[in-house]
Order: sequence, then structure tokens, then C-alpha cells
Amino acid sequence: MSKPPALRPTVSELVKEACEKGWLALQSAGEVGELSIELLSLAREIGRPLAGRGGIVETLKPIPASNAPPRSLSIVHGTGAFPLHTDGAHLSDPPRFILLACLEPGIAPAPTTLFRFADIGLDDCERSECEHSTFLFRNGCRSFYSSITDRSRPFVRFDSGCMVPTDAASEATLKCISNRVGSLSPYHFEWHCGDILLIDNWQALHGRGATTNSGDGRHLLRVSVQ
Amino acid sequence: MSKQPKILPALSEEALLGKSKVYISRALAAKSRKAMSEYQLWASLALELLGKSALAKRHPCLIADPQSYVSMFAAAGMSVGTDIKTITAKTLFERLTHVSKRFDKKTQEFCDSVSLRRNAELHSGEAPFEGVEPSSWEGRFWHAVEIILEARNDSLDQWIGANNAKAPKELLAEYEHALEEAAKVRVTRAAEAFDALPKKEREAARAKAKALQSYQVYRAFRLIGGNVWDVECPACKSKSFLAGVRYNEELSEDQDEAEFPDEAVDVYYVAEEFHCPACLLHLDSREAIEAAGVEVEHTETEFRQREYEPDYGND
Repeated sequence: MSKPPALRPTVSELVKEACEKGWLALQSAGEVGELSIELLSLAREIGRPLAGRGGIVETLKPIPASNAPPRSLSIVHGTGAFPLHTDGAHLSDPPRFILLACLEPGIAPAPTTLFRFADIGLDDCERSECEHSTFLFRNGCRSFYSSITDRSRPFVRFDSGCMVPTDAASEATLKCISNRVGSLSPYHFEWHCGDILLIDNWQALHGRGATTNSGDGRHLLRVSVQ
Repeated sequence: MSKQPKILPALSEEALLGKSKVYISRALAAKSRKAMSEYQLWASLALELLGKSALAKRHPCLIADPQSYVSMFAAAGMSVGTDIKTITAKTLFERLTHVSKRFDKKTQEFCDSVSLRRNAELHSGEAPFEGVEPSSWEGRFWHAVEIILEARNDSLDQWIGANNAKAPKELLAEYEHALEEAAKVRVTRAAEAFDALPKKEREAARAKAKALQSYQVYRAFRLIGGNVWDVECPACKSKSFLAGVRYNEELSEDQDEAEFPDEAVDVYYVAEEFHCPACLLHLDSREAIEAAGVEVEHTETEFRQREYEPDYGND
């Protein structure tokens, strides 16, 4: 008697697992040439895709600082490593999930680094500072003041690229959290063609790992999902 | 994210839509009894409620009376009193021009006139609905209704039921057909009159039109405060002009042409009037302009001094 086919997890099961762990690695089911379509289709099943600066399906390639948009992580870090951060910290409603997919890992692949904010191991005092310290989240005419965490909302805001301390206390908080995050050993997700990464952007930080060749040839796709 | 606040019936798009359906049903029943004055009264009330439901669907604050704190709190889902007021019909129809590109000045003016007649009917000794020729308002009424329903992603069938919708759809089709034909006739007549002119006169008229700039033809339009841009006349092919209103604006995706400290902003306009200084063809509504085969949407890129630093992005 033949074995019954293995049950494929549903999208809601995948999302649940990503929320439990902070992220979930998947493999594309189709050709690499259709990865963009597959990614968008998956994003629509999960929620509502959001348009970013590069459209709905955004191309992510390491950009030298000289060519980078004036207000970006690339202008600060160029083709080097990006610090751990949440996407959309500069938006009033950051995206719930980030979907990343690999078209081409590049010559010396740069991994995506990941760490759950809750696992940073903050003590009570540090957690309190994350709630009370106020930062300016710089975003042109849509800048606003907020904190890293808040009991009235379920997500974390953390992006040193757009957070500006407003006083000595928030400056100390940012330094402390940045140092703690910088000393972590995040999980390194090594990319291969067709890999897909579903990140719970409300609780997990992600970044770009260091590489020997400035990420030359690395080509990822990104869809932000609400 | 935080729970959606519960919206009170006074400002609920669902409640407003429901009431508009009751009123239009009464209107159609009055029409079937040949009570034409009553038909118009219920129809005018239904139009206003339908319009408010379209705005409320975007957000209840769009129909709350800003002078009334009770109403503003109600729009936020908090009940602090019972005296909830909504915006006037005039404000309603002004705001609808921002919700649908098709809800143009002409449609707004028609809806205003319906609401004025309604007010005169209810609050004065006049009988503004008596003796009104149905052909003078019915087609335009269903046209305005159809535009508002489209803004709600609804249809006539959903609003009044497929059976009841047959007659209004016919009236609407007749009205739109009449609009289109009238526009085409005007284009044809203007073209024929222009072609009948001696060649020298035609060439002189074209050359004069070609030399005109947008700022020189503002007085040719009824529209005040709009933008004017040039286009080819569908009748005589001379340089002619459209006047339209600003519908929306956003930062251009392509900022390459903007030099610091400027930024490029795309401004979107919708045409409301057409005028050709050569053959004197004049069209005074968006539908007429579209029926004449002229593109009504227009985008201009303005360069403005940047007031703020550029936006941030995760790239």
C-alpha cells in the first residue's frame, strides 16, 4: 500500500511558526526566475503587501555609501554589515512581517543576521528604559517621537539609522541597547538561490552580516507585509 | 494593533447606507404612484445619505460636524453626548470631489441644487419640486448616484436591487448617451464651422492659438483657481486648453532632476472645462471632454524648495 502524500503546512501554520521562533526559513517551490511572483503571492496569503521605496517587491543589493539614498542604512554602512534593526521603525505602523528571498547570494555571500528582541536578556531596569526613553524617529516631514517598546503596542521599534535620542537618558538607553545588541551572537542565515525567509518584524531584529567581498553580486528580494 | 472603535449609528457608513436604501425605496414607490414631488424629496434625502455613507466609509470624521465636540468624539468611537451633528450637504458634496475623480464640479453643482430645493421644500412655503420636468434632473440624479456608489465600490443593483435598478440604469444610459452625443455634435459643428472658413483665416487662427500660453487663457474659463494646460483640439487640431482642478499630489519617485534644496512633486489634475481659441469649441464637463476623445487627467512635476530632509528608508 503506497504512503499518503506528506501534508504541506498551510500558510497560517507557517506564520504561526515564524511568530513563535521570530523567523522561519522556507524554500521556493518554483523557478528562481519566478521568485518575485511567488514571493508576492505568499505575501498576499499572509496579509497585505506594503509598497516601499522600491515598490512592492523591492530589490536589495549592497549599495556603496557614495550611491546610497541620503537617509538610509547604506549611506552609513555602505556595503558593509548592517546592525540589527526592525524594518519600518520610522513608520507609525511598521510592517508585521518581512519576506526576503534570494535571487543570487553573491560571490562571498553575506548572511542575514537575526535575533529576537525578547532574547536580548534585558533586566527590569533596561526594559523600563526601553519603554520610557523617548527618541525622535527621523523620517523627513513624517518624523515623530516614540519609544523602543510600549505596553500599548505589540511591536518593537529599533533602528539606529533613524533613532535620535532626545535627552541624556535616551542617549544612555540607546548606547546600552546598541552595545547589548552589538555583543550578541545572532543567528546567521546563509543564503542560497531560492531561499525564502519569513521574519516576524514586530519581535525579531535582523541585519546584514559582514562579508569579505562587500556582498558583491548579492541580490535579494523583499516584500513587507501588514 | 488597537481594536477598531465602535462607531455610533449617526456616523456609521453601514447605517447611513441602510437609511439611504430605505429613502430611495420610498422615492421609487412615490414615482410608481406618480407622486413626482414626493419622489424628488425622498430622492434628494437618499442622495445626501448615500454621499455621507461614502465619506464615512473612508472615515467617520469626514462627516462629523467639526464645531461639535460630541460629534468628533463620536467619530472616534466615544459617546460623550447624544447630540451628534453631521456636516452640511454643501460640505459633503465639496468633499466628495476628493473621493472620486468623476465627482466633478458639474456633478457637485447639480447635487447642491438638489439639496437647495430640498431645503426650500422642507423649510419654506415654496413648492420647488412641483412641475419639474423629470428629464431635467432624473438622468443627472442617477449619474451622481452611480458615481458615489462607484466610490463606495458598490453598484445600483446592490443599492436598489436588480429589478428596481433596470429603469434607473436605462435613464442613466440615456443621460450618458445624450451627454456623449451632445459633445460629439458640438465637436463636429465646431470642426465644420472651422473648415468652412477661408484657408488664410484658418491658418491665422491656428497660429494665434499656437502662440498663446496657458496663463493668457484663464478668462476663457468659468473655473476659478484651477490649473490650465494645453492639448490638441479634437475639432480643428489647433492648440487648445483644458482647465482642471488639483486632485492629488505626491513626491516624485524620480528625484534625479531635482537639485538640492529642491524636491520634485508630481501634481495630478482632472480637467473640468475645454476651450479652443481657434474654433471656439467649449466643453464644460469632464464627461463631455472625455466623449470628445480628450484625455482628462494631467500630471505636472513641480520643483519646490524642500522644507524637510528626505524620507528615511530601510535600504
